[in-house]
Amino acid sequence: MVEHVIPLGWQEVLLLLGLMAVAMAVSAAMRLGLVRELALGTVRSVVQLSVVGFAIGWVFQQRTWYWVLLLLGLMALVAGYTAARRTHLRLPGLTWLLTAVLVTVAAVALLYLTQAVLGLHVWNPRYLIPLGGMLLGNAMNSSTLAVERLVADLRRGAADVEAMLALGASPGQATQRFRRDAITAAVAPSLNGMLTVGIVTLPGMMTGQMLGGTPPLQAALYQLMILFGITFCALLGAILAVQALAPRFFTGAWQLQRGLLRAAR
Amino acid sequence: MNAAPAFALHGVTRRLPDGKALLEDISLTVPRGGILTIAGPSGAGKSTLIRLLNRLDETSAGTLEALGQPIAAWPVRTLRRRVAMVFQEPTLLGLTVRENLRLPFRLEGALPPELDARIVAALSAAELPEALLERDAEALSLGQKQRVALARALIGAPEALLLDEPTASLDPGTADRLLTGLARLNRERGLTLVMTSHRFGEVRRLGGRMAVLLSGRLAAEGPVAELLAHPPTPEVAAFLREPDATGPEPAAAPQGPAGAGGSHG
Repeated sequence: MVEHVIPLGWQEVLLLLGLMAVAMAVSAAMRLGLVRELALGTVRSVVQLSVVGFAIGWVFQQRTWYWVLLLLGLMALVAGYTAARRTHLRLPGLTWLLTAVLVTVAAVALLYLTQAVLGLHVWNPRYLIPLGGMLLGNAMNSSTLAVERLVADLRRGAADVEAMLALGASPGQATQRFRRDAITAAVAPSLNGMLTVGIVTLPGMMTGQMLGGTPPLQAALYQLMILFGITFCALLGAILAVQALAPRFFTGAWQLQRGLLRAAR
Repeated sequence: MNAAPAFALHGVTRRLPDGKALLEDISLTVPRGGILTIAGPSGAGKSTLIRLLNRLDETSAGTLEALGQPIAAWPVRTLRRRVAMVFQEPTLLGLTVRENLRLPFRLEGALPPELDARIVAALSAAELPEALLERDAEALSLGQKQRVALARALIGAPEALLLDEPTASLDPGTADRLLTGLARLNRERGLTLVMTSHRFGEVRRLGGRMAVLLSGRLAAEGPVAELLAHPPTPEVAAFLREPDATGPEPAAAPQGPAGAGGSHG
């Protein structure tokens, strides 16, 4: 028995803006210096979500494979670009490398979830787009975390790396510990999420589905699917990103290119 | 016996990617079984020079031969096994002293059958008691750590040993014992020594030849006693007059200005 969903319109958005207005007023009164940030965040979220809502709504109506792929590809590109920018590294081709990592990982998970689990046999954007976005987003977060950690550790541990190289270690041997640490650190949030889910937090997707009228158990099972999918993507994304990136800091003659690490900030 | 020198440099230059020269037009020869101490003020290029000799960094111009062939003709691991290196700050990489000494073989993927005998020999060469073998390397004193690093460098039976400010972080007594041991290795095994140092007393005691670097250029080269007694130019004389003038590399920022591979000293 799916309940009727209370529709939200622009009038309600005005009421929601009232909430932000109060937040800005409090910030101004307490001189927190957050008014500009709050205003910017408010405007951007209204604009971005409206545009996305319209765009996805349009793609939902098309139900053609190329629009779905185009939208997913665009999301992947933005995710790859964002991940590359967040690493503060100036490595040529980094955006493409990370985009390729995200696409690979998300594509594997998305295919499995939609084909094996959900048994979709049409290009149904209602499933593909939100699932794809969620998987890409989590792969993006974990690969960014992994790369950030790898670079920070390599910078701090450059002397250790060079000591290993001087003993005849290959770059792979010299960075083994750093790569492992970066990967485990990057998946820690996902693992914590799995342990506390439902107890400490109700995930956004499940909340959204329940608000949208889905029975709680169904929402929980969908959440399970998402949770396993994003943990898979987080781990694989971190592994691929670290394995692809670590060798780039070395020359073919097993020399650490400290300059590339340093350009990092 | 192979008559080729341990190292032969002709017009060796090292530049950063931005074109700044760290070393310019260095020509010198280190015979097998010879001792060369590289002296010079902080930032003169001492570490930069020594790091070229096991190819931790790359020359930008000129030719550099190591153990009888162009340095780039050596497989990197073979080169670094035969030209070992000890850094200013001892970097211990395993849990115990024994693990540190096994590391070079582990990197090659095979422990030699006579490993225990080699460990004992390396310990005695570095004047370390066998009782230390199972100790946690991190818990050792600085002087002991540096000697473990020395033993680890010696365990692969290198033909040449590079030492970048090996005594800079040691107290004079410990430094003195280290140097005595090095002199003995040179005398008894014909181990070629190339060392950067900031203590003239040490340089004089170790003997052999000395190269003075000023602003990345070779300002003087010759037998230690002769150079100290008769500096060839006023600049070299001015430098040698300063008490312990060849300052140690700043340990906190050993990489120098930005650039691929980093700049040292």
